[in-house]
Amino acid sequence: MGRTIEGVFWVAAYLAVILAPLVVMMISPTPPGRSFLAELSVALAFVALAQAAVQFLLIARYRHVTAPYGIDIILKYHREMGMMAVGLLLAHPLLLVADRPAMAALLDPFGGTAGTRLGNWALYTLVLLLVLSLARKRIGLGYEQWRVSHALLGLAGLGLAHGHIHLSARYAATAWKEWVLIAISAALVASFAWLRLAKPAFQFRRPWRVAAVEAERGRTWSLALEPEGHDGIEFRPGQFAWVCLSRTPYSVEEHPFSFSSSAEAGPRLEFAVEELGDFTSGIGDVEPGRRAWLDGPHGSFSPDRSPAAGYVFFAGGVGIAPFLGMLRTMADRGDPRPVLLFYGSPRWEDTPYREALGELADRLALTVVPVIEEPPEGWTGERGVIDEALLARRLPREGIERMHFVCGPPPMMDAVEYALRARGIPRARIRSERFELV
Amino acid sequence: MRRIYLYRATGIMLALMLGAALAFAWARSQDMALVLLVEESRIEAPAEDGGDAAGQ
Repeated sequence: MGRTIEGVFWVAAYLAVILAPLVVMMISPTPPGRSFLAELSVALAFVALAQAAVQFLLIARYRHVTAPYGIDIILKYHREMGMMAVGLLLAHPLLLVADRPAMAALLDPFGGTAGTRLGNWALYTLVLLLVLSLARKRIGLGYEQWRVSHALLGLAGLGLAHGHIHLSARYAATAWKEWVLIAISAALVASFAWLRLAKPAFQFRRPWRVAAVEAERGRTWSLALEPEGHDGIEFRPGQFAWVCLSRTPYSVEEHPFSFSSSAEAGPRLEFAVEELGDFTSGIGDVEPGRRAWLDGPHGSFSPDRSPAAGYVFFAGGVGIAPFLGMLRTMADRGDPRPVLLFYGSPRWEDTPYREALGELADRLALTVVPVIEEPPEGWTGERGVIDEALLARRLPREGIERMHFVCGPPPMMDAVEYALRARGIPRARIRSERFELV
Repeated sequence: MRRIYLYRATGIMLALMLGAALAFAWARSQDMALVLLVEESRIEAPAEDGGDAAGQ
């Protein structure tokens, strides 16, 4: 199936699942109808319930689901749909109260019937989940703690909502209808269980070993892994894997890193890791020989998926990692296509992999344009940040259709995408990947 | 750039969901149902002359 057809299929499937509860609840026998507001309240709650359940599938890293869009977009969609689902759930009691103000008494989490209590708890649980996601950094919640709390609150919220539906016994008074709702939620939660329970079991059979951890410029490290007792993996340049350096693959401590090694070189893999957070700040202390686990490859940010006569790459900081992998792969393949790399960095002496890029420039039709914010004395190259004025000076006008890839800190990516659009580059010729979500 | 498509997709999804919810609410407030899978049992109304209701 082509990517476009796959993309349309999953959107249609998504809508079908989201709207399935409404169709089911319309089938006779139905409870006596009520006012428009009361029925709208119920409809929004059913939509939100299905939406909340689909959230589990969105983060289950199924390649068929993620490939047409890119996994970063799927995760962003997960975030936006989560906010929408909580908004629709909040509308559920508010509309009931608007319809009959006396219903306000039922919002007491410790009052009312068991059914309304469960409904309230489901709502408060999912609101808490949303607040923790939006405010994680501000309240100092660690990424790993947040991940665990996110999954548990999501499961609890979904379970409580089903309890509320069951005890309220209005639309779910017909057993088969309630079972359809439960089956939809169970199937979607099972996809998440696959990611967290079944997939690690497979990873146990394919362990990796840390072969080397080498310091690079700019608080960046090259992490090399080698397969133990298996042939490794095949990947496309620009893709990434979730890397786990814990004793078992069941650990929640795993992080996505782009392959910086050549896709043609295997089975040894390399990743560029910048010291940024709790996990990466200790990367320099990782001893060779340590056990590692990989979930991958993932991602659609690859020139292999976007063939063109030439490429323009925009990297910022450790965003150079996927481009290193792409350039090393092109060099191993003897690829003659022209590549222009704009590489933004705060300081020239802290610019990781600048020597490796120099070597690659000798093997490829590669031009590297370093853009340094605080250049050293005597610097004659580009200075400042990558902006429209720089692109006006340096973007090639040779008339061939190039594909533009952007990876770096979010402000840099926003600026580059804006500048490219301002220069008349069509959206279809711009690829980007961003992971800073929570 | 794909974020533009994402925002559009989110907007379209929200519009479709709200549209479906409004349609559901309107239909239910009119007390209508889809008779697709379950055959409704028919109960005849009692005869006006006071005769027994059939089918009970």
